[in-house]
Amino acid sequence: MYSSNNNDKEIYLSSFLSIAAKRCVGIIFTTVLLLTYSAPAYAHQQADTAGGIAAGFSHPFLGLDHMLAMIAVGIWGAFLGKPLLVILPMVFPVMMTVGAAAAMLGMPFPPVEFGIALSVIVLGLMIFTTTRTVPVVACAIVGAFALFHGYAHGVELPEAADPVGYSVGFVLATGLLHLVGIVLGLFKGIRFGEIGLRVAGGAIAAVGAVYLVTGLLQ
Amino acid sequence: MNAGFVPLALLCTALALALAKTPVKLSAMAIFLLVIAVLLSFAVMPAAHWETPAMLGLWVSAAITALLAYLPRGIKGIWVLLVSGNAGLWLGVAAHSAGKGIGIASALPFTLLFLPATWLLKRQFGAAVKIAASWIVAVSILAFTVALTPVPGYAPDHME
Repeated sequence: MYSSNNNDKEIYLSSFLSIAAKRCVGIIFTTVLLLTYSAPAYAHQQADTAGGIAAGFSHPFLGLDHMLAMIAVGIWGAFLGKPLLVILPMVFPVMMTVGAAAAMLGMPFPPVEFGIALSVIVLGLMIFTTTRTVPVVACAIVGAFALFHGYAHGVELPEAADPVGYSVGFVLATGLLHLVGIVLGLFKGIRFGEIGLRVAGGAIAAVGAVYLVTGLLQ
Repeated sequence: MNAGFVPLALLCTALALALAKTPVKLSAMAIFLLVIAVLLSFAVMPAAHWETPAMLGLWVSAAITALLAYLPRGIKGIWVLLVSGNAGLWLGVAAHSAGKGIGIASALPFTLLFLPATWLLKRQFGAAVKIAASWIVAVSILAFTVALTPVPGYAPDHME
C-alpha cells in the first residue's frame, strides 16, 4: 500500500515536473522570440543608414502632384518611343538634382508649386493629345519641369536625414515611377489601350489644373 | 558621417557600369587593381581631417566614371587601369579620412555588378545600364552640392 502510494507520488511528481519543464521552455522560447522581435531604438540613427534612403524614397510617393508628373513622363516616353523612351528617364532625375542643388544653394527660383502644377497639366495634355515632338523639345520640356520638382525636394530636405541617403532614395523612387509610367505606356499596344491612356492623360491634366487653381486661390 | 557605405558603393557601382563594355578579363584586372589602389591609399594616407575634399573627389569620380558608361565602345586599354586606379584611390582616401574601413569591405562587391551589366548589354538591354548610370550622375551632383552646403544633416552630433 505504502509503496503503491509512493509510486503514485513519484509518477505524479515526474509528470508535474515534465509539464513545468515544458512550460518553462515555452516561456523562455516566447521571451527570446519577443526580445528578438522587439524593434531597436531609432533615437540615434546612423547618418547613412536606411533612415535617409527611406525618407528620400517615400518622398515622391507622398505628393500626388510629384507622382503624377513622374508617371506622366514615363507614359509620354512610351508614346514617343525610342530614343526618348530611354532618354526622358535619364533627363528627369539629372535635371531634378540640378533643381535640388539650386534650392540648397539658396538660388532664387520662380514659384515652385506653380511650376509643378503646370508640369502635371502639360505632361497630362501631351499624353491626352498624343503630341509627338523632336527629342530636343521633349527633353527641354521634361528637363525644365524636373527643375521645379527638384527644387521642391531640395527645399524640403529633412534636417535629420542623411542628405546622400535621401538623394539616393528620391532618385531611385523617381526612376521607379518613370518605369511604372513606361509599363503603363506599353498598354497602348492593346485594344482600347491608347484611348485608356489618353483618358488617363486628361485626368492627370485635370488634377494638375486643380492644383494650379488651388495654388492661385491661396 | 559622409564616407559611409552608400557613397563608396555608388562609386563601385559606377565603375561596374563603366566596365560593362570592357572585355571580362580586362574588367577582372581592373577590379584587382582597384583593390590594390584601395589598400594602398587606405594604408598610406596620413591621419588628417580630409573628409570633405575626399568626399568631393569621390563624388566627382563617381559622376565621371558613371558617364563613361555612355561611351559607344566603352573604356579599353590603359584607360581601364586609370579609371579603376582613380576609383580605388578615392575609395581608400574617403574611407580612411572617415575612419570607416568596414564600409569599403561592404562596398567593393558592388564592382561585380559589371557581370550583370555586361549580360544586359549583350541582350540589347544597354539602356538599363545607361539609365542606372544617369541616376548615379544625378546623386553625385546632389551629393557634391550637399558637401559644399552647410545643411543641418551634416552637423556632427555626439555619435561622431
